[in-house]
Amino acid sequence: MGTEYTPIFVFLILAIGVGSSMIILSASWLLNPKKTTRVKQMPYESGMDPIGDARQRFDVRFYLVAIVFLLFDVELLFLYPWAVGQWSLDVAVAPTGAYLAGIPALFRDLVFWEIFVFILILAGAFAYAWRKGVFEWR
Amino acid sequence: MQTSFFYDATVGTLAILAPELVLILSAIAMMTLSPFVNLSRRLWCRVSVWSILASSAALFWAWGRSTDLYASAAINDALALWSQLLILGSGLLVLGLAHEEPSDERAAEFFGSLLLMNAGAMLVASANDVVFLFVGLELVSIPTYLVLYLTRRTPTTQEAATKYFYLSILASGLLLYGLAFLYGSTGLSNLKAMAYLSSRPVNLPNVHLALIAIVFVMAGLCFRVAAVPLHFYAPDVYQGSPTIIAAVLSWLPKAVGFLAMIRVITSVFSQASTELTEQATVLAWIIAAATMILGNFVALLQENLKRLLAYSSIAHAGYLMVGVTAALALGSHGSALYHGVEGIFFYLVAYALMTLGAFGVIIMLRIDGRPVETVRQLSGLGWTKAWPVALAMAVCLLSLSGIPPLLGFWGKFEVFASALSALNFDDSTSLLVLAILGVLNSAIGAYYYLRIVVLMYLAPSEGEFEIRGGWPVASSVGACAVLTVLLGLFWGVVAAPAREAAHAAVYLPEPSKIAVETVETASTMP
Repeated sequence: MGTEYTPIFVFLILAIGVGSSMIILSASWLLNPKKTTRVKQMPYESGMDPIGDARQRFDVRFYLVAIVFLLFDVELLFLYPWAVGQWSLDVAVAPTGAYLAGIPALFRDLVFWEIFVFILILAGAFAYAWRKGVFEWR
Repeated sequence: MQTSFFYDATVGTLAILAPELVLILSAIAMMTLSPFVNLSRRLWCRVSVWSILASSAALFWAWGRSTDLYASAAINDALALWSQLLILGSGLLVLGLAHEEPSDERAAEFFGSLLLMNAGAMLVASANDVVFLFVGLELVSIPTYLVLYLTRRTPTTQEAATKYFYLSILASGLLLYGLAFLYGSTGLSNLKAMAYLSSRPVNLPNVHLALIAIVFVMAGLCFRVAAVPLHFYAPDVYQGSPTIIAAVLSWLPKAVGFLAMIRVITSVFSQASTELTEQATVLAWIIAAATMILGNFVALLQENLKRLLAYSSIAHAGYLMVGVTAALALGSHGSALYHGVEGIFFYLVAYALMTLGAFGVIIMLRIDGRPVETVRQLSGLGWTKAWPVALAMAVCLLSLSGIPPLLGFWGKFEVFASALSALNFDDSTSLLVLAILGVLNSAIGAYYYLRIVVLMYLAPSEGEFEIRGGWPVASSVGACAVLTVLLGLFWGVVAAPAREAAHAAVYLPEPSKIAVETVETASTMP
């Protein structure tokens, strides 16, 4: 018997573990004495007393900044693989056959200008957010 | 060799996408410039009109350019061309109706969103790749969330925007899941290549996955078109949103949804193995019958005008689903007298004109200074000084109910005829039953449309009517009504493009040698 059945045992252990912990949890919920007091209802019975509702309202500006952050996050997400792939098939950059994936030489100009347009559009969005006063923290 | 083949396909795709690019770039420019310059909404509206006209010019420039169908992500066949023209034309009508909706400082975002929605719809019409199709669908729905809440910030629009947002995201998830299965069943993302593979049953590796794909894609698109299992949001959202947004919602997502159904489901699977096609046909049959019956019966009970039009739009989604059923059932039996896609396209043209016209009348009318809300408030409109509006409304409603010389009748005729044509080649009688159900339903639907016409002409008026909106709204509504009559009289003008679109939808040329190599490498990948 080779190693090809190893996943089955891993899953078996997982299944037994998850199943038994579910049984223990539900048994303790079924069998426990149900005496509720005000102290027991608190989120942390023996911790610090809560000082307010957990469902607090946040200033909407946090969300705006988060959205502007997403703008750059997505930009990076696209630019990084492009930057790696753009010249990786180039003989000058890497010896032939060192990389299997990359942008073929024929596509290089097209992809370069497409990335340029992409950055321009994001810059437009950034300018919009700036002009609308997202960064003015009053 | 392969690289240059793909390069040509990519550059060709970019050229084909010129009309969409024009719209998207002008929308981005408008939105980005809006905080920097102070322009009136009239000017922004004019800029949008010009960019739609520029997009039409780009459409004619791109017409005739061809790429390899099996490699490019977008195609410009007759279906794409005529659908894009339809979407651009309806975009002009919508701009006319919407020109008074936003305030000056929100006008650029509002009109920019409308342009983006049109661009998304056009992307779907020309999509030849599932990823691309999904991008197009999202480009329609994301600006929709924006316009639902942009112009009027009240609790009702908030409710409408929230409901539409969450349900639309759920529907997108379902659709994406289905598209993943579609990719899994063929190993391809190119739709024409998928159709080619599935027309040769030996080469479709995982047929059982394809059925799951059909169910999920259908579910996701049923939300967009407001067909039965996922129709329930429509009345609440239409009633809560501004009237012009309700008009856009009842037209654009429906057109997009049915174009996507043509591209992803009927064109790909109508020529697949008979078992798969039969199961897909049964699914479409059930959705069509349930949608028609539910939409029409619930519409009988409605008093609020926008809710009534919402249920009427659900009922029309049902009639259009009859076309989808016919297109699926017909596929493997060769060409017929009337094709399902032909019916769908014709019906979409008719539906655009009559539904935008009816909503336009609601936008125009004020009774005692307030917007018209209930059916009863329209009483006696026909004999006041606002009689041309009543006439336009009457034309649109009669067309919606399918009275013969008008365009709506020919739409229903083509759809039901396509169901009967598919029947000639099929040994089951289920399509006959569906066509009969459709005709009975249009008879039921006639009641609530004609009730409004009767109230307008035979009941005493309940208040002082007033017309708002100026010439742009008036000319949009007028164009809708006049075109409904004229195209109804000369219906061949629409029937010929519809026929071409149907041919293009199922057109599968013999692939070039290099395309075959590419497809086979892709589909046999481990």
